[in-house]
Amino acid sequence: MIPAQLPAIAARCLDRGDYTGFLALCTADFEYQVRVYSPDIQQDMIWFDHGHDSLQALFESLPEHLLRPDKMMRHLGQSIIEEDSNTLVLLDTSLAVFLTNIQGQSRLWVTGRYEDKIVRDAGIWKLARRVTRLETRDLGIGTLVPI
Amino acid sequence: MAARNASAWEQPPQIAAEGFVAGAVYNDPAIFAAEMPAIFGSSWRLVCHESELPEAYDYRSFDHAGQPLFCIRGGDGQIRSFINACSHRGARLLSEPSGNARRITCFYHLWSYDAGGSCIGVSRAEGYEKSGLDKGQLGLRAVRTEVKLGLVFINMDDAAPGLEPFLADALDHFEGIMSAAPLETFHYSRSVLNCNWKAWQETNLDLYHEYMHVVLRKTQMNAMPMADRRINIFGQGHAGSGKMLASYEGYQGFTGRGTDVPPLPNTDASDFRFSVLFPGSAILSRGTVMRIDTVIPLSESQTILEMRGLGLKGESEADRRVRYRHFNQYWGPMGRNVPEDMFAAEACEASFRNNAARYQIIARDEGLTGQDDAPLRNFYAEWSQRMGRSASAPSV
Repeated sequence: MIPAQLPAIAARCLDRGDYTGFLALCTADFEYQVRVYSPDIQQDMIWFDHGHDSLQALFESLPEHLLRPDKMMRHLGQSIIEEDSNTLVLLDTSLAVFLTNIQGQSRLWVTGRYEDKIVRDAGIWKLARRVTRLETRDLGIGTLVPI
Repeated sequence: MAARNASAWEQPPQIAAEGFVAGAVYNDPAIFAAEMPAIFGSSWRLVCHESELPEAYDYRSFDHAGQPLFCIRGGDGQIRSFINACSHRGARLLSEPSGNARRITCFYHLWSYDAGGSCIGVSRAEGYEKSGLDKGQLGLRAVRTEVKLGLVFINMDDAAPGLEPFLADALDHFEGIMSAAPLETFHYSRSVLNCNWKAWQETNLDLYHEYMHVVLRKTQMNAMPMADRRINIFGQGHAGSGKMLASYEGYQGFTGRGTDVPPLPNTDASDFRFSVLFPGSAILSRGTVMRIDTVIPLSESQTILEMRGLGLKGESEADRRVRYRHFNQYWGPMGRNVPEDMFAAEACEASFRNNAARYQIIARDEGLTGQDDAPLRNFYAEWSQRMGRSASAPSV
């Protein structure tokens, strides 16, 4: 796998609800934040902040929670390579997430960008850090599932 | 009796009228229209925390009862509020949600105002000399503003009783937390929900729905005996609880919560308390973080929900990150509690919208302990009094 494919592969795992597959793409010290700038309080906010283990705990807890019935589809733009070496790649990828409800109607839900740090871990490229910067600030009824 | 036929389905529950609410309260556009002057036009509304206006001339703009307003901290430190419309042609003055404006200048013809609402500039004023227009009569429409425990409230009704009698001790639970050290808003989000504004407020008033949230089943329902809970009913439709316990060891990923960052003043990690203010605000604290939410009704079936998170002002970046995590675990847009409440509010709305559901029952009586519905009954008693009609039969 080439590192520039990782965001799309990770998105496909999340779209399918394959959380084991998603975590397999991440290093053991993976960190995932969702950040949103608020013009109301003029601050960069953290809306989601998990490490590998707490993400795993979250994924395991999902069946116990009320979840929105919509399916998510993460549509990614061409990744911009910010840094590229034999051991580290930094990618910036535009993101749009569409929701499809149980009647089959689809709508745009959020837009933003993935800022991914990808490292070579025992010879395999893995996600070491993801910061999702959302432009959309109204998530409707929200989500427990990572964007 | 098993399932009911259509005729039986339409009959109100055979219990005291205070124990149920008719669907028209949620789905009738005429009732919604009547609520605006009767309730929102004369109640105190929480609009922000004073930390959102830290410096002189900082402002926050917002909508209330269908009108654009803003509040601004004056050079004297006092917070005042005004209708956000120029006295000349009515153009919106401040379009950003927040900012700093020592002089508020209308983009249209450049009339300007100071932070006290006085008109201080009229472009080419000599053109009005023949008309006799007096700049001294062109100030902005002032809106009553009071601050309590750092919370900024406004009231559109100049004749309404003051904030203190309106609050009726409902914020006493938070006196020790909110007055001992400066707090600040670190989270702000707003969501348009497909529900009546009261459906959201019910999620704050209804303790019985703890069953819906696995996170509350595991961290709250078993943390203290139901009989030891104390629910407080206040005047003016407010309700709350001074201290309920939470235990975070039973939920995977929450272990150690509260030991990793200083708690809010005069509280501890296991402390959970709340006050729900009529008509549309709620204040909650959960050991290390506070949540404030406010509804802005758009129609009988759409509501803006504003959600704020508060923590200690001036803390380290590391502590703030932990406090964010604590807030988000329950209350953030990607949390385990609030999104489920939103789901529930919209699910009820979907049924009431077309009269598939006719009544909702709020008749649990546990003597102001456990999961008593008294906060809901108290809310609807106030609603009925202000609306001049019963929530159980609002169309009669």
